[in-house]
Amino acid sequence: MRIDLEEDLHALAGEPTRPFDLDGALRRARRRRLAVAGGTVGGTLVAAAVALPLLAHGTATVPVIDDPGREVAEQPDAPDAVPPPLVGDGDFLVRVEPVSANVLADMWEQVHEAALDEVIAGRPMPRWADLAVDLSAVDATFHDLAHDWHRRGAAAGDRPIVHDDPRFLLEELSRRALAETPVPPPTFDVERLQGPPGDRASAWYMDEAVADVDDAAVERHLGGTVDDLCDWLAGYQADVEEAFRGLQARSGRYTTLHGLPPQMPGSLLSRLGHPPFGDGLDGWLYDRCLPRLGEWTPWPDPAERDLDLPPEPDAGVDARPRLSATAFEMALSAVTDTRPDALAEPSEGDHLHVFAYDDGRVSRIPNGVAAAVDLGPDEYGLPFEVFERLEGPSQQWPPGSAAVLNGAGDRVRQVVVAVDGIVINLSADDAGVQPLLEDWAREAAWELHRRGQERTP
Amino acid sequence: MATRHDEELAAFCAREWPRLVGALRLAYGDQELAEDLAQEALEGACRRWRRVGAMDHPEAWVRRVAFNAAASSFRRSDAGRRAMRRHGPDAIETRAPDPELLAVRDALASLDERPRTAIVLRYYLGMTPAEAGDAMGCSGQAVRNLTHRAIRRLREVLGPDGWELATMEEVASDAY
Repeated sequence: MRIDLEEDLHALAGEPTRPFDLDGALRRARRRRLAVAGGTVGGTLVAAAVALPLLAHGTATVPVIDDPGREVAEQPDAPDAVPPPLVGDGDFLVRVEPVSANVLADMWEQVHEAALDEVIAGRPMPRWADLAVDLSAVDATFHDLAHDWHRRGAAAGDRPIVHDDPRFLLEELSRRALAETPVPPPTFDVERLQGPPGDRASAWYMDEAVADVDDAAVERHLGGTVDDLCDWLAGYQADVEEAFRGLQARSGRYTTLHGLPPQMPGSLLSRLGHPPFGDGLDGWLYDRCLPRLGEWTPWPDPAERDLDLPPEPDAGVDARPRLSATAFEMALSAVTDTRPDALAEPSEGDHLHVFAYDDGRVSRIPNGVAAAVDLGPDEYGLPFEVFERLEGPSQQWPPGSAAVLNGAGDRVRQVVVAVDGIVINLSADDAGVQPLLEDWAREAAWELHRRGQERTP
Repeated sequence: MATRHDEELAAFCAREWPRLVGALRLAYGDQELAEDLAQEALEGACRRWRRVGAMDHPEAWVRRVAFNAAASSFRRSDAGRRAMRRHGPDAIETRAPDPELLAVRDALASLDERPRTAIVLRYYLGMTPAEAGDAMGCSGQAVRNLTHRAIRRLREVLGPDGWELATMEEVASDAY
């Protein structure tokens, strides 16, 4: 027997059964690219899922995730949180493999960590516009996609991820501060705090028992007085806050924002190995300890919030406060000289069509839709009148334009605006932001309309 | 009208396609998978041809992408991979069932994935150990070691005689 590896391998390799699809490869390579960024899984993926087929002349069936971030917490493996495969067969091709909501959450954890590392290191915050993800060839789980973003971003020398939502930063800085702060020795009996083995499953962390909570009961359980506990919590909180300020100072950003939310006592006690309290008991302790934790303003006035944001290239054009001006400005800079105020009274010939879905899902995007609205749960959704004002005479929207508005979260309201391939997810809190959302949505819609008219022969 | 840029790309794809498919098929024993992975890798080159085409060795880039894509593919379909391990890459089929060739095929299939890949990259694609290491994400010396062990294993299975001299001399130099 004669063995020549090279010769034998070539004989074994055989020939391809089909030719390389060069035409298809070139066609797909020339597809337009879509920049996607978002503050939540839902915001981003809804935007991407809806915008892609819209941009691809919008006839695809579009699965939309209803606030999976919430579902991750409440229903870790909820079937509804799993996006079914999605294939758009126009200019864009996206295939989303079914993945669990936890995988989505894991992806965003990595994404956010990457952004936060940049900030804490004192480097500029990655911006929306820095993220240009080619979704046209995505054939992976979102988990893989996240890795791919990192890899591609690193390879290209780009910062791959974008997030300049101050809320996220504060929460993340707070979480890190808590993790990095040594636990001070408690002034009460830790052994008793941790409780006997049987007690770990006791009513102390079951909400049903909360009604019976009083100082005496807590003291019996913790082996110290409530005052001792509150003092310890306040001291620990101060340490955490100091660490938080340090992280914040290193980030060089958002220094004027009101800072660290007081940690829930349960979070602090858990560092000592205490089993989790129920919400009720934790809340009781929180209320009891809050006077020791100092006054805290949960969230700054919107007008204050961007004081420390870097200057925008076109700052001064519009002095309104905003959260993330970069991409928004990039997408909508042309709007200021059009007719942002005309939407309230559409004139003949001006057509805008908004589809609103108040059940958190969009099952089908009709061809030529101007905008899709995913309000999420009613109680969290944006006021419907915002969209009613956007809605005008029904008419097919020119292909290539899309606007997606997405509302989700119990305290965070979001507007996701997709403008011709640029998907923007803006987050805002409850206070005073509605007029801005309204303005932005109106402007976005008009920008879409304007671009659509330009394309129409 | 095709530009020179398009013509270069088309020629590159035509040249690399069969070699890439063959290498992946030998490495993973699945014709469909090999063709899908090769298509994916070459599509990547199409998207980035300005950059990839300007490289000294664009084929090396494509091969690395293809083998990376294989790893991603297996990660995504771990169940499939486990099945492949259970059953071995016997799916390699030859159109000319020469008995000696079939013996080589079976011996190749008996190798673990990485030594088999090292063998394919070096003796099918003609890569140097350093180039193969780049494609596999390891050092050239690691490839030498993998190759050395793989050949030793193949000789155990196929017998010590009849080996083409150049191969044996090359492998002999792949010291640990």
